Amino acid sequence: MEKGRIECRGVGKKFGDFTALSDVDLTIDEGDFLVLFGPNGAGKTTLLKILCGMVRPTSGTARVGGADSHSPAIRGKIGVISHKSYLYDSLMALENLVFFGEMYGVADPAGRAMELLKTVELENRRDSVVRAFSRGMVQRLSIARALVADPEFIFLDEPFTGLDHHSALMFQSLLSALHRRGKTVMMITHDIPLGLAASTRAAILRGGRKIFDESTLGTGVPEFMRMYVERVEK
Amino acid sequence: MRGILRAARAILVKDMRTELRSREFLGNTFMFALLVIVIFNFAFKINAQNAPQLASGILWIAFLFAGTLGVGRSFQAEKENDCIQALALSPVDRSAVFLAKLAGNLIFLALVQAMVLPAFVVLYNLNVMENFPMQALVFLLGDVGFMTLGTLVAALSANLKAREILLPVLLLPLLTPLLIFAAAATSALIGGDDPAVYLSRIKFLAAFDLIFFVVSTLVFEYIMDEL
Repeated sequence: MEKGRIECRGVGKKFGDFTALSDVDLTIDEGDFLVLFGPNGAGKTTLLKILCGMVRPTSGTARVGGADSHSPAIRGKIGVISHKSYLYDSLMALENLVFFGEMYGVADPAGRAMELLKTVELENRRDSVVRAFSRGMVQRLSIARALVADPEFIFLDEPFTGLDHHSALMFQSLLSALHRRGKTVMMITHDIPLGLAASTRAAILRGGRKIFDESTLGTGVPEFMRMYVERVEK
Repeated sequence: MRGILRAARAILVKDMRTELRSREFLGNTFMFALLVIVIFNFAFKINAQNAPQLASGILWIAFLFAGTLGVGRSFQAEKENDCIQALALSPVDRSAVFLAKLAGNLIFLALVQAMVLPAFVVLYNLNVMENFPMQALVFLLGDVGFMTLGTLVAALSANLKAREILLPVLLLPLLTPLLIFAAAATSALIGGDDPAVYLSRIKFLAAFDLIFFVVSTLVFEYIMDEL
């Protein structure tokens, strides 16, 4: 069971004198979809970066799939989608995906790239440079990039930023499809309705500490928003 | 090792493709290097006696300026849209990124040199290609040392706001011994000096390259963490 699990124990992170995270315990079981809410500066992105192996914690342990989150072995099993696309603007959509396929040692990068372009409905724009894409198209291609190695764990940092309502809904349905395929997902967002619709659990960080962590199944948006305002904004 | 080379090749091909699509930087850098040798040609009174010493120094200064401009760009494409994070998140060994950037910078410098040398021969009336194999070896060793350190310092300064200024400030002191020996070896070869003179300088260049290549490859992993 540890194979598909994400686990933090007493994770803390300091940047100089500033404490970004303090003693955070969090477990995301295999196939769970956890959405992480919290005000700006709560430590959400820092926690995500620790789990992706981009930042080392100052204290505690972060394990993904049973391995230390910083170990190179786990990198091939992680897909990250951020509000930054991680795509090369001057390369075509297909070239970007083939390149990342090669980076992840995918057996047939071109075939896999075409398959993913079809999934995100960009196959007719395969030869367009990313610079010419709209924000919604970039974000869809960004999903394809993150899925190039068919990762077990998917981390998303404010993926709805800059998307119009239609693109956000399309993005959300892609995420739901991934979740149905058994991926373990952790997402940071400020959009409570979209976050709750996609997730099975929600956690809230405030001032670097976890103040809420419960299942969202059967939780209504107004009820959650009321609770969020009480705990975070008051 | 095969995985590292495969990943390095993929990054290099991607960089070359990006560069070919813009096609403006190589031409501009060549013009800059050409201007350097033209200005020096008018600034100094070069005659048959002082030509080997002065001209070899001028040639390496032109390479230095052009190469510094080139390495400064090597990590800028990766900073765009935070692509460097995507590379850091991929399971490839980080030395593959260093090797690819080094290879790209070497190709760039070699192309500039191939364009500058004919102009240099015409302007200074010197046959740089006297004893061609040895001269080519000096260029190769000089280029490898220059680009190894250049790539490392470019990665170090990639996150800095004033990186265009700090890159040469950090790089030039480190390169001083390499440039002195590369220019001296070129000068000895142009001047037809005793082989012992240029061979000792070539040995120094080889040792410099080896030391800094090993150190840079090892240190680069930690620099990637900060990019």
